[in-house]
Amino acid sequence: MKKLTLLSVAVCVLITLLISACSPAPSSAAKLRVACDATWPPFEIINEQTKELDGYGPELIRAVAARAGLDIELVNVGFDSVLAGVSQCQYDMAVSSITITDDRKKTILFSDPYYLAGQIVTVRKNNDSITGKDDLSGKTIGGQIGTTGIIEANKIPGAKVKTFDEVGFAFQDLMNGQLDAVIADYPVAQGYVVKNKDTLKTVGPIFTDEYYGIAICKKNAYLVPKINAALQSLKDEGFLDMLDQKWVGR
Amino acid sequence: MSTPDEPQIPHKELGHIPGAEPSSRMDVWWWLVALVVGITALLLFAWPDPFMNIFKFVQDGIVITITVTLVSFLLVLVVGMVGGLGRLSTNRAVHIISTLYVELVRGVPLLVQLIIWYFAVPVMLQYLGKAWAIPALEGFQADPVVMAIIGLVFCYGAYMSEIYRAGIQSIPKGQMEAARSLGMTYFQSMRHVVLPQAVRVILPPIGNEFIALLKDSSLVSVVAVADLTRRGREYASIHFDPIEVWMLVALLYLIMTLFSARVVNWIEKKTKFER
Repeated sequence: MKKLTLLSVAVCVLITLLISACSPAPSSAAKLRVACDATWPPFEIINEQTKELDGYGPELIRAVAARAGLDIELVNVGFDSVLAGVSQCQYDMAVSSITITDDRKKTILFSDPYYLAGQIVTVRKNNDSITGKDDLSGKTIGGQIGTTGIIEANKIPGAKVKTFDEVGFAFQDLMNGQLDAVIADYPVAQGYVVKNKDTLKTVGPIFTDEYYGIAICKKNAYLVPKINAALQSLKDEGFLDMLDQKWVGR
Repeated sequence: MSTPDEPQIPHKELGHIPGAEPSSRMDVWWWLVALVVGITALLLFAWPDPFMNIFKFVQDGIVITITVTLVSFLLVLVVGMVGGLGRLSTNRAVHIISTLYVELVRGVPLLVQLIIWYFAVPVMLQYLGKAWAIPALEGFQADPVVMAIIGLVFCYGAYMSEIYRAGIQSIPKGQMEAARSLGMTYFQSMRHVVLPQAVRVILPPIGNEFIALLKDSSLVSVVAVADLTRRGREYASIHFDPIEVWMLVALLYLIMTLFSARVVNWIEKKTKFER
């Protein structure tokens, strides 16, 4: 009998714990969750001192949120989870250098573009046989999973495409000589090339025109005009140019 | 009236020994494997979009996962045996080296080890090649699958060493002493007397390691090996349907692990006899 009492008490405690764990805390429920993959310098990074999300994207979304009167909370997840999460409304928004593409528009809403980027090919400095995107057929190409760089790489006939969780792994693999080329957004590739002047170089022109947009989950359509208005006013005030100067430096 | 010479035919019921029918000799847990396979097949054929599309995309990933697991496991069995015997060796140097190996390797997470093997080791080798002017090392290029297998073998070999050691130590000392006094050498007694008995003891933990290895092989996806997990992520990153993708990937892993658990169970039964 004693055992039975103990067991029922244990079950009751467990159930209460479960219920209290499942009901969300009221404070965080009101906040909009913004997903971001902080492995994409200089756009989304982790600040070394504060361990907070930092970079062009997070600074932009904080300013936009302040202007639009939104309460946001930034979440750091992998890039494929950013896209999947925002299309499944697990996150309310995402700011992660997401290129606006027609395919993505089918499942995700986008704000007006805030940045013009494009893809470029990076190779090792001693490689003279690859002078641009057209020399890549039959070569091993790397990039970050889910990015437009990988989408472009998959279009190249005969190319072997390797996807990495982080673009930094792809550049490391390129420097190790285990990849022939990396396709990534120009500002990001430029960052790695500047840091590794002796081993890496970009070749060929920027071969796509891509616009970054703030991704918004379909359930939150009411956010789009608010965010666009805030974005426009920040653009008019020169805030975007300031961010460009500060983070990308051009 | 029956004549006394006529042989007594035992009643039919008496020929029936409970628990000896072919049906009850079968391992009932095969039904669980069948159930999971059935659910997977149902998903694939009842909703070909998206499940069949996902399956077609991850197919080559399944092959890679199985290959990496099987090759690694065969090598792990060898490395573990060497490590286990080394741990028991009375030779100080061998003992210290194998103990160091086990202690160091099992203290570092497998994920970290894999990243080191793939991203750091090639750089070190290239650097050494440059320093010593060995052209073969200078241009060293790592194959992701090979590096992944080396990483898995290196890590699991350490765990397996401990399993072998425990198994060998569980055999009474008298067995070895008896074999040696019969004139067998140390290796003969190990090979013919101690190891065959130890294998029976360590079979369940070895089976456990195999299943753990099968699951941990998903970690190799971080070094861009296109295994089942990687392919699943790639599909989900294009189509944004993580729920369907991960459900199917989980079912596929489950089929592989449940099936291997049954095979291990079958081998255990085969090698078991009353002592």
